[in-house]
Parts: sequence; C-alpha cells; structure tokens
Amino acid sequence: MKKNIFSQIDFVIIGLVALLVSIGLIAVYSATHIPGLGQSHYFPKQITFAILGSIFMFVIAFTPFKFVQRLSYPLYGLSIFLLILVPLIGVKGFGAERWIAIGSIKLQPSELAKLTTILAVARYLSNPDVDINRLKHLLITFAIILVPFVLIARQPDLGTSLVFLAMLIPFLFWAGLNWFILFALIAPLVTALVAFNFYAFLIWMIIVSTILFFSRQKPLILLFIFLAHILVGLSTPALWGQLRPYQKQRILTFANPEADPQGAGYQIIQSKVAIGSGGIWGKGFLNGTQTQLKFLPAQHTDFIFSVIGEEFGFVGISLILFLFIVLFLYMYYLARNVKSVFASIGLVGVTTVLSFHVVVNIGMTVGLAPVTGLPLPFISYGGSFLLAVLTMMGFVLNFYRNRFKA
Amino acid sequence: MFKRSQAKVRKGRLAVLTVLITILWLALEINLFRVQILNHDLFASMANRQSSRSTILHADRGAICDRNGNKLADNTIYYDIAADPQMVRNKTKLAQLCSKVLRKPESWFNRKLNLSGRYTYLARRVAGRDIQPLLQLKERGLIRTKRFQREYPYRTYAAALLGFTDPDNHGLSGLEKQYDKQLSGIDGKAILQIDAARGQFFNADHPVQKPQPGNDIYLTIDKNIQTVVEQELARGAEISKAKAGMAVVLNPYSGAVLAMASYPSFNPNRQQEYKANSKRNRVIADVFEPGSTMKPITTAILLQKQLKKSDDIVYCEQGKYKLFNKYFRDTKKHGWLSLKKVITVSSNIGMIKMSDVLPSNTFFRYLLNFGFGSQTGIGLLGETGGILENPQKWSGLSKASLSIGYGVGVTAIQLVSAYAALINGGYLYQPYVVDHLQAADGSIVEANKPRMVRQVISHEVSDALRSFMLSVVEEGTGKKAAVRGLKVGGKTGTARKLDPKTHKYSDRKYTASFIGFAPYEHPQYVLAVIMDEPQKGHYGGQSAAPVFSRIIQRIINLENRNPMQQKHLNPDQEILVEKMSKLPQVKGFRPDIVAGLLEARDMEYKFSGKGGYVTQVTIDKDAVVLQLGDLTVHQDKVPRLLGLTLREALRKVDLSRFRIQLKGNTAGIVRNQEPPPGKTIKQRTALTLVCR
Repeated sequence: MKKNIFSQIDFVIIGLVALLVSIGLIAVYSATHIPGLGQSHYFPKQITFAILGSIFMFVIAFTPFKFVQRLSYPLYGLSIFLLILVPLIGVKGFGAERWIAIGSIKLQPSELAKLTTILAVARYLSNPDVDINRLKHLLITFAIILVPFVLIARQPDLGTSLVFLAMLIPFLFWAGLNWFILFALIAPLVTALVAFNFYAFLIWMIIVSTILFFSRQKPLILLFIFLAHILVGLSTPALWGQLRPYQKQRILTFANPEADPQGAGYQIIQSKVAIGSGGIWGKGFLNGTQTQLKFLPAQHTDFIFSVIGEEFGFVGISLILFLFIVLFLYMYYLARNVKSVFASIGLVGVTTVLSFHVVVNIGMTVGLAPVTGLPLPFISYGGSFLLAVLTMMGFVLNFYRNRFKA
Repeated sequence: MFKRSQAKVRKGRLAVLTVLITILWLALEINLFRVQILNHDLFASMANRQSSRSTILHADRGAICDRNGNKLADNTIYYDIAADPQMVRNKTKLAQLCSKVLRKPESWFNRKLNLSGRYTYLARRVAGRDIQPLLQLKERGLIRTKRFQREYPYRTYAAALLGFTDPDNHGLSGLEKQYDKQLSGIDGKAILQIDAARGQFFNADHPVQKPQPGNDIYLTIDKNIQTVVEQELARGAEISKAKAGMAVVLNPYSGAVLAMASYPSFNPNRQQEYKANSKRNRVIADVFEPGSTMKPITTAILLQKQLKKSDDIVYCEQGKYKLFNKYFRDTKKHGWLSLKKVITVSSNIGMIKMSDVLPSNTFFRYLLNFGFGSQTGIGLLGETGGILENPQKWSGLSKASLSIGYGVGVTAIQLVSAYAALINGGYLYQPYVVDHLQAADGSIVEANKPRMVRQVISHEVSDALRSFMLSVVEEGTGKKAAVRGLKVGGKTGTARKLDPKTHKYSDRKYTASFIGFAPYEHPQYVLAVIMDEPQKGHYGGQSAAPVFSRIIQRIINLENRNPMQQKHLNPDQEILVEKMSKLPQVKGFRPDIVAGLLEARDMEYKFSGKGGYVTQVTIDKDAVVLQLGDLTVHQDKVPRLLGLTLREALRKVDLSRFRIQLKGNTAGIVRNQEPPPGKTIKQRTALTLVCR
C-alpha cells in the first residue's frame, strides 16, 4: 500500500493546483504591471505566499490522519477566538475590520475560519453517534456554521460570511439529511422570492402542497410547514414595504449591480468591457488596454478574472474554467470513494467553499452575481486567502493519502 | 448499518452534486461566450472609446513669401493657458510664476486657482516666447492649449493680394482663398491612450501620423518694392485727395509682378474692422477708361501698320475739333504737331486725326493682341476682362474715342502688361504673381514660368515708342515723373469719368494715371499709377506722375544700396565664371578637397553654412561661395534666369551642375537661355546665357 509515491501523493490535485497557481501568478503580474515602470511589489509578494502555501500544503498532506481529526475542534476554537478578537484589536481595511496584525504580518482570521469550520463540521458529522436527521444534531451542525457566519457578517464582510451559509446545505445534503427536511429548509427561500407575484406564489404553493401531500409525514408537521409558507409569503412583501427607499435601492443594487452604473455597476461594466473586448484569443499578455490602463477596479484581487479574460480571451478563461470543473468533479469523486466519513465530508466542504468562490467571483465579472468581494481561489492576489486555499488542498491531499482508512 | 447507508447515499447524492456543479459551470461558460464572442464588437468599441482618443495634429499652414523668401503671411503660435484647480499641486508656487510671467498680481491668480470648477482660464492668446517658464513647468493641473494664428507681418501691404483667413485658418479671400488647399497641408493624427487616472500618453501601437505641412507660396512680389509702392501710393493719394488708387510694377521681360497695391488697403490681421470696399484687389478687378494712356498703344498700331511715321505731322485745330456733332478738345491749343509731339503733349485732336487712317478691324485686332478685352491670365481670383466692344457695334465716334482711351474699359494689369509689350520689343507676356509653390522639404511643387503670349509690335516700333515716352517725361505732360539722374519714360492719362446716373462724362471726376518704365536704356520696371477721382490736381501729370517718380527713385536707390544687385559683372567675375566652367563637379565632395581644387586654380573662395559636404557652388562678388551642408539637395532642373541681370542669374545657378557660357553683352539682361528653364538635367550641363 505504501509501496510507491503515487499512492501517497495525488498528482491530479498537485497538477491542477500547480497550473492554477501559475496562471494566477501570470495574471497578478499583468494586473500589477505598470507600463513603462515595470513591476510593483505585488508580484514578488504573491510568489512568496505561493511558495509558503505549497510548504503548508505538503506539511498538512503528510500530517497523520488521526492527528488531523483530533486537531479539528481546537483549530475551530482558535479561529472563533481570533474572530472575536478582530473587532477588539483588528486593523481597518476597506471600511471594515478584517485583519489581525502579528508583527508586520497581517492575517485574516475569516480565511482560517472557512477551513476550520469545514473540519469541525466534518469531525462532528463523522461521529457515528450523530444522526443528521435528528433535530438536536441538526441544530448543533447549524450552530457550528452560524457562529463564524455571524461574527464575520458583523465585521462587516458580507461576501465572506455568505461562504458559510453556502456550506450549510451541501454539508447536510452529503451527510444524508433526508429529502423532506432538505425541502422544508430550501422551500421557504423560494416562497419569499415568489411572494412578490401573486400568480407565481399561487403556483408555487400548489407545488409545495402537492409535495407535502405525498411526503407521508405527520399531518401536524405538514400543517406547520404549510402555515409557515403562507406566513413567509405574506410577510415578505410587507417587510419589503417597511424598508426605506435607500435600503431597497441597496438590496436591488446588490442583486442587479448594473442598475447602478456609477457605483457597483461601474465595476461590472468595466469588467464586462475588459472581458468582452478580449474576444476569442485575447489581446495578449500585458496588452490588455483596460487592464494596463487601470480601468479595471481591484484588478489584481476581485477582478483578476477580467484581466485573464481581456488578455487571454475566451480560450484562456475556458481553460481556467475547465481546470476548475475538473478539480471540483475530481474532489467529489474522491468524496465518494474515501472510506472515512470525516474525509468525505471534509472533501465536500472544501469543494463547496472553493466552487462557491469560483462561481460567485466569475459570475460577478460578467454581471451574473453581486459584487461581494470574494476572490478567485488560487488566482487572485491576497496572501491569507492563497495560504488558506493551499492549506485546504493540503487536507485534500491528506484525505487522498489516507483514502483507505476509515 | 450507517456505513452501508452512507455508501448508498453517497452514490446517489454525488450525481446530484455533479449535475449541480456542471449546470453552474455551463451557466458561466454560456455567459462568457455571450460577452466575449457574441458581444465582442460592442465591448471592443467601448474599450477603444474609453482607452484611446484620437487627436488631430494640425498641419502648419504654408507661408506666403516674396521672391526673396520674406514671409508676407506667416503663422504664429498662441497659447491659451488654463488650470484645473483640483489638480494643481502647488497653488502658491504656480500663482507666483504666473504673476511673474503673465504680469498680473499674484492675488488674481490665487483667486483663480482657488475656484471650485475644473477649468479656469489664466491667460488667453499669449505668444509662446513670452511664457516659456510656464510651458516648461511640470504641472498636471496646468492646461496649455496651442493655437495657430495667421499673421501678416507687413500688415496692409499687398493685403488685397494676400487676402485673409477665418479663425479656423481657412482662406477667405485673395491668395489665401485661391491656394487654400495647397497652403493647408494635411492634418496628422495621433491616437492617445488614456489611463483611468486620465494621464495621457502616445500609443506605440498606433504610430503618430505626422501632419504634412502646407506648401509655401513664393510670389514674384518684392517686399521692398511693394513697401515703396504702398507708401508712395498712399502718400500720393492723400496729397491729391483721391478716393482710391492703385499701382502695379511689372518686370517687362517676364511679366512677373513685382508689386501690386490698392488704396485704401486693409490690415488682414484685423480684417473684420475694415469695409469690403478696401479688400478688393483693384489692380485686377477695377475697370476704368484709360484716357490718354491709350495713345501710345494707338500710336504703336499706326507705326506697326506703317500707316504713319514718327515725323508725320497733323494739324491740331487749335484745341477744338468737331466730329459727328461732337467737339473734341485739347487742354492747350496746338497747331501742326508731329506724331511724336502728339504723344508728348498728349493732343486728343492730333491722335484722333492721325488714327483716321486706321481701319476699325485692324485697330480692334491689335487692341485684342495687346491684351485688352480679355483677362490677362495672371492667375488670380477676381480678375475682370475689361470692356472692348466688337467693331460691328462701333459708332462713327468709337474709333476716335478709342484712340484716346475712351469707350474702352481696362484693368491696371491689362494696361501695364500692354505697356510692357510696348517697351520690351513688342512681346506681350502673361503677367504672373505666383512664382512657385515649395513643399516643406524644399522641393518645388508647382512653378510658373514667364509666358510670352505673342509679339504684338516690332522692335523698331517699340524703340520708337520708348523714345516718344521719354520725351513725354522730358518735355511733355509728364515732367513730374522725371527721376533725378535716371532717364525714364511714360505717359500721362487723364480721363473724365462717366457718370453712371446721367451717362455723361463728368467735369469733376477724373481717373488720373501715369504709366511708365525705367531705366530708359534697359527697362527693369514698368509701373502704372492710377488715381481715382483726385480732388487736387486731377491731371495724371499732376497727381500720378509724381508718385511714379518717387517710386522709381526709391526702387533704384534700394538696388544701389544692395551691392548684391549691382547689374554688371566685373572682369574678375567673368574670369571666375570661365574658370568654374572648367572645374569638375565639386558638389558632394568634402570642403577641404574642393578648397584644394580651387586653390590649385588660383580661385578665391569662401565657405557658407556648416556641414561635411559641399552642397552648392555659386559666385558672389569676386569669390566662389561653397555652400556647406549635410543634406544633399540637387538642383536638377534648369533655373529660370530670363529677365535677370547676370549678377542675379549667377547667384541662382548651382555651378556644380552647370557650366556657364556667356554670349552677348554681359552688361545686359539675360534674354535667352539654353537649355530652357525647368528642363530636367541628369549630369553637369552647359548652360548658355544670351544677354542683351
């Protein structure tokens, strides 16, 4: 079993990660390149973090499996402690307190929290005594995820906090939550959205009733769920009416940034112009006018994908999307095949977090998703985030190495 | 149990997750496809609009120069200085500098620089040389806009000929309008890149299309002669209280217009302040009855047709002569006069009776031959052809009237061209005022050559007329045209103006004129001076002749003051020319080699200019002048030397390209040259100059 290195190290993961990080370095180089002046300090800094991250990744990959499992809760506790510390000793940036300075190094505890929350949930749900379909255990799972969510949302860093909400459903789903509870959790969200249109609401309620009717659950529970839907359906428009115009505007802009061409819409429009003008083959490395002339907002962090879109075209970004989908499908495949429940749930957690980042970030660059400030994994500039992502991949490698352990 | 169910759960749920993630992936791909490929053109054009801006680089408008290259119409650069108060970094420093340079109190600039807007003028239309420190200052908030402006340094001089431009530098009248396209050049274009901070820089991918400057126009006008003519015309017109006036100087051997003036004139720098009346080029546009200045023409025709001889006599009826119920009068009573004397004293009756033998058709044909009744082809917009009726429409009185210059409408340029033919041996030249157009690189774009239209009269008749006109000045009506120390000839003219209301000739309004030439022996200039309605001294001999005299006097003085324009070659120069013709081609050689060659032949030489190669070899005074330069410019066309003195001619010839052979009287003027001007030569060629 430990005969050769191929059984120890997952070269699919290593290859994909190496490719994505390299592309990221190229993109950061271009995005921070100043025509006529050359490089700024961003690129060497990013290389440093890439090397540091790779070391983390390999160290974690070869950490004993049992040790990783045992470490889950203490790490979670540490990250919660740091999150509580942020508003007390945090460093301000972009109007929110996100960083903790240790000497000259600035760390984002929220990045650490993503990882430790995954591990904590995986640890909890892999406990043979825990049945996700029991209310108590379900609520504890909720709590593990919602504590960091609330702390981060209060910083305020809405984008990052949403990552935690996004983890919730896939975790429960993968851990075997039954379809009915899943439905009961998701359906009210749909109800809130369709409540603004009477006919849509009516049709949706018929669908809900039908599903409930055939669910063979206790009538009391069915009635409760049905009434809850009616309540949500009635209260949402009423709550909306209570909002002040600027609050409504803020929510609408969040949902549809292009409606606000001066603010968030400006970024989206600039991003679309950059990507769109790239065409099939792109304008070439360092030749993107929008990038090099700094029309793109936050082009080395949030909008790094637009840089690639402009300079390497549809072909270039399709390659990146392809690498991502291969990585995600491969990690799902691993999640199915590893023996350990802890590893399996951990893999789903990592995949969910990464894919949420990818979809929201890329969706943002083409105007499909709101501008949330979520970076693109492996590629965006940002030390804490790159370290966190590579550390997650270290766990993935660890799970692969120990795929036959229970 | 848990494990088994776990495995089962995983298998089914993996499919769900796979499908979900694939759907999201597809959604992204489809949107990217939409943005990058379907809407590529839209976004590409948006990107272009945003990041680059094309800027017109204005081409310099060509200058209008006189024949010596003095700029009569030029461009000056003005700057508009403005500031963006939000961008200025050091306001006090800028205000201090502005105050020093623009001579306004510092507080004024401080107030301007603290305005809330984004654009405020600090100074408008200031010359670049006055604000060098501001132009060199590195300050992003300071906006310096370059503007070109046409400038006419000699103001009113030749204004009607030059014309003027609108504020956008488009020609509105005169040569500016006529040659607008040639002068304008082609504007260039630069694609500027703008970055998000609105800094601008040139885009290396789009090389700047350099503006192509307009061509310069070189006129035949001589600035000095023009100046004299303008000054004396205005002075004469003021003395005689004339309503208007015009004067034109022609080279009789080429038709080149040396000066052309209208009075009143206007200042093209501020043309909007003047009435349209003062902007007309009267010399080519105004038609008048010439009166007595026509008599030499009539006489030339009589002599040419051998109908009369110089010493034929006629009885002048004591000043009153009746023809078809109309009385013709002379200003003085005369008895028997020779033809020459008729001209000298300007007897109308004598002229009318002499021309009685002249057939109407012959008269008409000769008038046409002299250029009357049609445009001269001087090549200027707005030229009129004058009025000359067909003999079939003539009445019994027409011939008599015509012989003394009534019943015919002429322009000053027609009259002066006809006079040039009268005195140059009978050759009518087409007058011209644009010598050539020269591109910015020095190449000749378009060149005018003297064009001899026809020989109208013989040399003998021409000689006779010159002597007639000499006696007009020496003993006749034109005594006031005399120039001290110089023999000149000419003819006075005093024509009653036809009252447009009554259709009768006025007793008070006259057109007074004097047309003459100088020097008598080998005429260099034909000059017409015409006064419209002089109030004081309405005779041509009184109001126009003195102007002629003063102009010629001053022009001759100008020449003498300039030793370069001495007419005659001295023996040393003749030897030099001969020696040069034996010298190999030296152009393109190093100066020291050429110097050695010349020293070996005992020739005086001097260098002019700087550079590593000899570019041109000319003769000045007693020495060979070696023009040095780094750029090799070929004189590959035979220059036009006709009508020049030998001195002038030799200055124009690149002796490294031509071997000069002289024929005839070297004190004379180049009358003929072989090969003809404009011919392209490939190697060093013999150039024969025939002088008379």
